[in-house]
Amino acid sequence: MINYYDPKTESAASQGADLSKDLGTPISKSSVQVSVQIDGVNIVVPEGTSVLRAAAIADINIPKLCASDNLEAFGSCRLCAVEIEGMRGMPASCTTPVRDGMKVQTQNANIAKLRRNIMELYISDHPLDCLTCPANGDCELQDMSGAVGLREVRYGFDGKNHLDGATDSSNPYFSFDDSKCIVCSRCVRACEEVQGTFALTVDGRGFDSRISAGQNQDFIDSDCVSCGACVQACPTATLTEKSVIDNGQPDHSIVTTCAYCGVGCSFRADMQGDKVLRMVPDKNGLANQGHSCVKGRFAFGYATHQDRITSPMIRDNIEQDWREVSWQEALEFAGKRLTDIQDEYGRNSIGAITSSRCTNEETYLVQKLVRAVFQNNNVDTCARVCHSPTGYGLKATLNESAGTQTFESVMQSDVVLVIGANPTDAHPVFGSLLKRRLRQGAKLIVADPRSIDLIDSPHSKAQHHLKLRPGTNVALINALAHVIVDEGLEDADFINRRCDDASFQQWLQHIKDQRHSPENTMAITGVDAGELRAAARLYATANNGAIYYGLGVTEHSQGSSSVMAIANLAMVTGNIGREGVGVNPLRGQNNVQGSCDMGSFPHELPGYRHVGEASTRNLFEQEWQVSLDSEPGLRIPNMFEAAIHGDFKGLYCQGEDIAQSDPNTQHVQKALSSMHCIIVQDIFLNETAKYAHVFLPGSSFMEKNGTFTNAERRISRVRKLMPALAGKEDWQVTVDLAKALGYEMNYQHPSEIMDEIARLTPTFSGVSYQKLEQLGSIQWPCNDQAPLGTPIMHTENFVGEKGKFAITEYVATAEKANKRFPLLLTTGRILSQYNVGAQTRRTDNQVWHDQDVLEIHPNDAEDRGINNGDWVGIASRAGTTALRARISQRMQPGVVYTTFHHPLSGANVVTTENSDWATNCPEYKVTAVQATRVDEPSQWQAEYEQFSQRQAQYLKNKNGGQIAET
Amino acid sequence: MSDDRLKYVVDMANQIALNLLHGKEQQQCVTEISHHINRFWAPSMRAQLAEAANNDNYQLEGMVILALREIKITAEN
Ligand code: SF4
Ligand code: SF4
Ligand code: SF4
Ligand code: FES
Repeated sequence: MINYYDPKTESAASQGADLSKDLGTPISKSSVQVSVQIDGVNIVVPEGTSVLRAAAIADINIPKLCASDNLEAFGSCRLCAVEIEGMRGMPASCTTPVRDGMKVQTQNANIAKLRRNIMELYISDHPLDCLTCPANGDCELQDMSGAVGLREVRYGFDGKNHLDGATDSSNPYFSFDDSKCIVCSRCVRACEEVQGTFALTVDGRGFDSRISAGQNQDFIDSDCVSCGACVQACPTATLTEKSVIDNGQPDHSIVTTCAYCGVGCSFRADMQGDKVLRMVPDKNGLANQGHSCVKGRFAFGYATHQDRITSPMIRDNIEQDWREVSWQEALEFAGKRLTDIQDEYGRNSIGAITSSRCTNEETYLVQKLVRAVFQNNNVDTCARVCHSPTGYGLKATLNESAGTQTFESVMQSDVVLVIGANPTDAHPVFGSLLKRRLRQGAKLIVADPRSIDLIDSPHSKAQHHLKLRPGTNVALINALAHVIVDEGLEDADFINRRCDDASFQQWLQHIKDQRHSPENTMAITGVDAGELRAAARLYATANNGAIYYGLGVTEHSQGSSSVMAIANLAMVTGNIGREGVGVNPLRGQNNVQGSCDMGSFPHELPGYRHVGEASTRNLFEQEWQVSLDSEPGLRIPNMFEAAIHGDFKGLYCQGEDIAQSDPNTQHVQKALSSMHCIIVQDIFLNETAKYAHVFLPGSSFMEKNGTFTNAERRISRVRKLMPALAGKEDWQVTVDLAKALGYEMNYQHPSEIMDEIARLTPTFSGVSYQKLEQLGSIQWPCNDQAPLGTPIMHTENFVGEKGKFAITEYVATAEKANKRFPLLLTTGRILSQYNVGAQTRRTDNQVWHDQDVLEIHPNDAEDRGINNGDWVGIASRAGTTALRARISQRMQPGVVYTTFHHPLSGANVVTTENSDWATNCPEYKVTAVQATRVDEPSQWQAEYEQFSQRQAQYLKNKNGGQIAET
Repeated sequence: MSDDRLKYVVDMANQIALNLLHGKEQQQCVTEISHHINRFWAPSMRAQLAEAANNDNYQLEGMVILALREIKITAEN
């Protein structure tokens, strides 16, 4: 007897079970087991499992076309027909659930005849150009024809058919060839069930039915968001990647991790030699479970873009031509400059910035370089400008700087509170999972100044949209907590058992005060008191209430307070420590969690241990054979201040583009222009590199080995797909720079760096590349107590302690709308572009967003005589820029919105140096501005364009005015 | 030392105080402020804060002034 094993259970998956096989229909979660006999083989499966799936588990492969195990069974093709003892006819095995004692026959002459007839009908309306078809070798229709033994097509090809169907090539990445469609509707169901966009329909009936995007639109004009789920689902060549059409089928595959957002999707890179043909989401990947978004799935062409710089370059000052040099000369030049600066200005006059786009091993080495070789703690990371308040706030309350759940956990949530996050754009694969849960009936509360897509999605609506004024998160979350304690909705048992009583009592006194009531905070937040009370009750009374938040929480002057207020809310309702609940920061970039874990903050060694802790320092001192500074170093904004005032002169910046991403651009430019040596390590000459003296060519995620850690604390392998274009992987460059400064780092492979991290970091002590190979991925903490990792945190205790309530008083931001600047600007991200756009701008994703625009409410536009597409000047006390207007009902009156994906947009020329009180995370989300119709871009934009053109010329002249041979 | 530089640390310290001074006894506030600044600020910034405290041009919040006694001021190297 074959005992059913559930490959999706934690243990099976974490033991590296292969989920790649398509078992035909989704898993049944029933705990009742039933016994069935298929072709004489006995098998035990959960009740509700389809006959098709049960057979597949026993390696009895019933032919199928319309079924796939990521889609609900549909039963349209009938190819999976079987005979079942006691049942009439030949039922479809995909739609027939097993019953205890059932006896099934999957093969006999009658079944074979029926299947051949079905295939004959399909093939009579299908082009027979298999040898020249792009799906040749990867076509389920072809496979099924073979499987059923089709030898003739009696109906001919001359009757009514779809063979002259048109091809829609409007999407830049895939095409739709109607002539090859068998109308199995897998694409339609993938778009609905997996992606949740509902962009596709089956138009017409019977023989005339065909697949249609939107209202008979081209894909590009429909609601399609190019996630690729339909392409993956299609069993024929109808929906096929253009890269496959152009190049043919892959010859091998390597599993790696997406280099874009914090979901950290696992992908199978399908290769031809060392060329990546396509990226296909990996079903074994526990973060994404076989789904993807347009960025990871299709927008990888930047890695081999012609703008890649693959040779080191140096120059004495930034108004000079670049000079292409050997690695040795560049590293010696950089080493000497840094040494000279420290000799002249002191050891604290230099520092480094790590990037969340780099691997754990790379960020670990950069912070090691700073602490061990620069001999100071001036290291910071781009998380400073996104999730540093998460690190601070969760450590202060839950005792660990990390989210508490797996993504999959949301499938057990009953109420989901989304605060300051826009998952369908910024974390699309999680957004799809969440939408699936909402369609199953979970309730949704959104707190956001904008109307995000989640609020009104196909077949799911938010129960409450708390459309608060920008900058009032703390008042709003406090009001939610006030209602909970005011109405006795707290979880007293959880608080007693799990939380620190003194901090709770103090917090209780504070939060009970009437100034936190929804009625009193309404004037601050703009949110109706009744609506807020209802939302608080909904969250507090849910069996499982989960909170997801993003940069709309952290990028405020009270970012850290908001994070702590969220943790308070979860603790007071007992929504911590099990599936379906928790506090979940949606991290922006792929390795934000990892770069923070690796000790990128100036006050912390790897594993969030303060540099002042002598015992921790000793550990590192022994391993690194140096003595370490016990005082915190400078944060990024502190580095800029010190640079402007002449104390900070040298910066090593790996993979981060501070000139574009950091606030108050003119201030940043001034700081960068004040330094004597800026070393930029990147794959492109990014905006920061225009201020650099040394350019060290970086390697894309395709060119190196390493690991990323996603928002679930999940450590996943990044695997080298092709040789590094510049000859070195990024970690090797840092090793060589250390050597140029007289310090030896000896590693042969990034796995040895991970071994060192594991030796020195208790939460990583059980992590190794070998274990990652076995398990696929690991969620830290992974150590002797949790050798397979920790999917859900704080199940018993808050990391050895009790949860601490924090007092979070609302303190209004200093950035207020006034007569001169009457609007509030808030910034964000969109689906097709990523962060500063350096990668996605160099892909066809440009077709969806080739410029940043200013979204403005119709009333505000009308008041200012602004029409759609007009140039609008946006002025703040920091600076002025100009963008095209998009009039949008998503905005509330008085609030405007833009993105910062294009450097010449100058969105950060307008944002100010205001920052979070605890972490200096910039207040990107609130800037008082005025918007006026203008005729042309701003002076800053004109000047910056000229500067960029000069820098482009300096690059062109890198070989003494000769264009370098490629 | 330019004015801007001192104003920068004064504004930061005052903002920390404004966020930490609620719902607690004075001594707890003072401890939390000094603990925060000792834990997260580079010594150079703490030295600038001390310098600003001795300069009448800068307005430090009362709690910050009290906290200064517990803020570690070390010589820069
Ligand atoms: S496009 Fe592909 S998946 Fe969609 S109905 Fe046609 S054959 Fe099926
Ligand atoms: S690419 Fe994604 S969104 Fe577009 S039609 Fe296919 S499944 Fe739907
Ligand atoms: S960008 Fe994010 S959601 Fe999209 S494929 Fe990559 S990791 Fe997944
Ligand atoms: S696979 Fe069962 S009806 Fe199509």
